[in-house]
Amino acid sequence: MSNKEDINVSYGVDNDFFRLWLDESMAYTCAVFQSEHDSLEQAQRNKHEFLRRAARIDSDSSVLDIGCGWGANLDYLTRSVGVRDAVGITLSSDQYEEILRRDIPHAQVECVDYRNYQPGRQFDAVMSIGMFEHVATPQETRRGEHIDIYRNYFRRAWEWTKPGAWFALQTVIGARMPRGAALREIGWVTSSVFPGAISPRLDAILDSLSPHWEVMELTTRRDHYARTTGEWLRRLENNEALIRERFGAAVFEDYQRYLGACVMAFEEGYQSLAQFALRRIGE
Amino acid sequence: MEQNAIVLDDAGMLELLKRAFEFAKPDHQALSARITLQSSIDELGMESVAALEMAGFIEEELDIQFHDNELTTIRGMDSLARLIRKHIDGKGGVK
Repeated sequence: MSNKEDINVSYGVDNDFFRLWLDESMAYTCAVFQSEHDSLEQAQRNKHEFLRRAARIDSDSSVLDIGCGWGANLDYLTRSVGVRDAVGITLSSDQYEEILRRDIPHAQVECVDYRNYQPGRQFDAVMSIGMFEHVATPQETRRGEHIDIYRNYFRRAWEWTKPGAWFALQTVIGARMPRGAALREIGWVTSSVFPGAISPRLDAILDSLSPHWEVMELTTRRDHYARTTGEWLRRLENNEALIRERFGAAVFEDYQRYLGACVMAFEEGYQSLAQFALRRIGE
Repeated sequence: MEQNAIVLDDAGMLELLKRAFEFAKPDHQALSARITLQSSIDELGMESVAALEMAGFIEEELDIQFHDNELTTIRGMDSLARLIRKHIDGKGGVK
C-alpha cells in the first residue's frame, strides 16, 4: 500500500493547483465521454452516473467510497442522486480537508488507511475509483505478494458490505508492456508522481476476487482516459503562467511531462482503464 | 538446432546479464561486478523499470521477444536467465 508520504507526493501539491486543471468537481480519474461534444465536466458526471448504476445505488443506499479523492463522487451521490448516507475514506490530508471545506450534505469522511478502517457497520454498496492502483506497491508486486494483498483488500470490502451488495471498481490497468523511451517515461511517472503505486494487470485483479466478489460487468475505456488526460494537459498548459508563478516552474514542468506521458500511454495502449460491477458472494 | 547457433552457458549468461544491467543502470555500473545468477532485483537496488529495461536490452541483443505476462514474473537474475533460455531454446539457440 502506498504510505502517507507517497500519497502526499501524489495529492499534496496544493488543492488550488489541482483546481486549476481538473474539472470543477475535482474528479482526478478517467471520465466517460458519451459524445464528441461532452465537456470534461459532463464526462465526469457521466462517469459518476455509470458507476452509480454499476453499484446499484439509489437514494436509500448506504455507500462507502474507498479512496474518495477530493469528494467528487460523494458530492454526486448526495446532491444529484439524493443518497443520505455516504462515507468516504482517504489517506490524503489535503483531500480530507477539502471535503470538510466542501461541506457535502449527508456525507462523512475519514482520513484513514483502508487497512485500519473499522466502520462498525455494513454498507449497501461500495465504490472505489482510482484507488486500487495504491493497494500494492511496485516492490510488493515484483516480489509476487500483490495477489494476496489484493485478496485482502477485496475481503475487507466484503466484510464492510451487506449480503447482496454491489461494488463499483474503477482502476487503471497495465496493458501492453512498454519498451525503450515509453518505458522510461511511464517509469518516471510512477516514481516521481505516483511513488508506491502501480497499475495492476487485469489477470491479477481477476485472480484476487475469489471467493468474495463475482464479476458481473467489465468495461474498458482506454480511449476515454486518453481524452481525459489530454483535457487535463490542455487546462494545465492554459494556466502555465499562473502555475509557474504560484507553484514554481518545476511543478508545471513535471506535471506537463506526467500528463503528456499519460496521454501517450493510453493512446499507445500501454495502459488502459477498467470499470467493474462486482456482486458480493454469499452471506 | 540451427546452424551456427551456440548455447549460452552460465558464464555467457552472466556476462549478458551484466551488460544488460549496465545498460539499465548506467549510473551504477560498479554494481554489475556483484551480480550473480542468484541476485534478486531488490538486492541489486533495482526498480521494476530497470528490470524491464534489462529485458528490453536482452530482447534486442538476442533478437527475441518476451511475452508481456512473462515480464511480470522477473524477480531476479535466475528468473530472467530462465526466461532467456526458454526463448533461445525456442529459436534453436543464439546465433
